[in-house]
Amino acid sequence: MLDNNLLKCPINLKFDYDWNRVRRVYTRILEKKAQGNYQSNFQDSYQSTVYSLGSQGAIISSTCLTDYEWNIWAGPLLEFVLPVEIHDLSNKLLKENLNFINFGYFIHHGEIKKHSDGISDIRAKDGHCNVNYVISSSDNHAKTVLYNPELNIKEEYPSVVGTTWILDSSSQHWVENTGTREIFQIKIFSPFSQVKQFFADQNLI
Amino acid sequence: MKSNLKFNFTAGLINGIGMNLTVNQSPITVSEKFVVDIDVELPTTVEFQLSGKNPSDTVVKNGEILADKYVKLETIVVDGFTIFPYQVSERYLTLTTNNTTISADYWGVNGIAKFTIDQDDPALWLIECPGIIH
Repeated sequence: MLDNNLLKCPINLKFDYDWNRVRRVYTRILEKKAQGNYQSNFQDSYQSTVYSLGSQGAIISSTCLTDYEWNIWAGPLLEFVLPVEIHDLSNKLLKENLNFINFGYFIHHGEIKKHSDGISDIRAKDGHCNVNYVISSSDNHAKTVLYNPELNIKEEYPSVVGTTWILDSSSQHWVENTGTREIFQIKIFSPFSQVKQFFADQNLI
Repeated sequence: MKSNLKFNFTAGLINGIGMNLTVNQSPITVSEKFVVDIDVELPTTVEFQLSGKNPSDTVVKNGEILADKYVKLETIVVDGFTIFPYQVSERYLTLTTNNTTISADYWGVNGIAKFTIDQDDPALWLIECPGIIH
């Protein structure tokens, strides 16, 4: 049977959590960012501006792939407002020698243009995967498309609220969306096959 | 929102006796190292009442303090998130004595210290602390 999960794969990982708490803190941080409260510097490699939250993480802000500012929040303060079980997951990933990088959270509007992650990050030399949980999505037709030109494989998955997907983000990918999407993301710099196997071993595939 | 607060203290004792301390009117036994662990509903102000300090509890020789009776707040742990008093805005940690209010983590006088979280979510409060996100 043809495997149609070579670049992405659904996993049975649910985050039954009151995301209002995360949303509220994220919104407040963005308000303070707009007021000029945080030091920033432009990172050429990511074509993004990094707004420092000190030892508590950062907001990575860009418009190079989006029509509207795309702000990704990561770091200890985000982890503080996440459910405790999520920390168990990062510990399990690390225990299995997967290169867990961080958790991220963002709300974005409109499309995300075609790109590949990890090219500029030497930590991602072995691979680059995102695990994306769709918290909310206002466009019923929103979808993520992945394409590997070497293998000539194209796959896609819909932005269905409450679903979680692993994607090989080192491949070309983009998001077709006319609404607002809210995503919780786990960034892992390991090969897609290994990340997929990890979740299979957890009986989540 | 419910929250757990842990206040980690060290203290100076004179002849084995520390200051009298109550936290939200509950008496606390002061030793050289002790923890006040309380569950609260946010927003909240935790009140520390300090008493029992006499002039003889500060031992001075040739202008040098050799021993003192005091309570010092070392760290505050808010739902597992550790912060140091210097990271907290002076409006959130105060010590009032003789009608004078200052921001201090070394409490060597009789008076009332207050620690305030003025948000219903500790994360929103942490954002406002200048020493935590700067």
